[in-house]
Amino acid sequence: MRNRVRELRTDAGLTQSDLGASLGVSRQTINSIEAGRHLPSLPLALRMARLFHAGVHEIFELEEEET
Amino acid sequence: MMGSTSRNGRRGLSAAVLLVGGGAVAIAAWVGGHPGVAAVVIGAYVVLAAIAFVWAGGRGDVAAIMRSGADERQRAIDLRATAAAGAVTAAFTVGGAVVSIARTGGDPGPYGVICVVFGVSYGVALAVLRRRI
Repeated sequence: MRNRVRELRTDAGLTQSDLGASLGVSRQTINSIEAGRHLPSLPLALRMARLFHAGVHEIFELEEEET
Repeated sequence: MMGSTSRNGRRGLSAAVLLVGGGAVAIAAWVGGHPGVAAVVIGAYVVLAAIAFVWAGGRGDVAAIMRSGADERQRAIDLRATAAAGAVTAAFTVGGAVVSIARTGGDPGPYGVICVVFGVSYGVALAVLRRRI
């Protein structure tokens, strides 16, 4: 699973702590999501999509071998 | 706002659990006629509780889990760690039961009871969770 969380966060001028606070999760969890180690739950992905004014499919994308 | 989510939960939770558990062990030792052991136990648990209280005030993943204020990833870490500890404990207990049977010629001792408790509780958990999830 690829994601654009880091790109969208930096474009919005947010730190990992800022984004975590906005979404109700820790800075470490944002870091883990950006690094692709943690797959967020659907509710968290939807909250992230709402925050970035984007669709979930615009933030998260399946890798070729996952499709 | 920044960093506020890393301090969710109750900081004194782990310390309280340690104090209650240590108190129970100390009372047991006292009732068992070992007041000296009871004093040492309660002293040790007070120190551990103080360490837990300080640790739980931090920003890290373990601190959040200790406060019971973990987010979804931290809860997943806690769940996997609990499962790993359970698997190791189960393997150790089965090994202990086998060794005890070999030594006594058939009696698994307390290991047998723990194996039964583990097996039954796992079965009940499977039955309940498959309906809930």
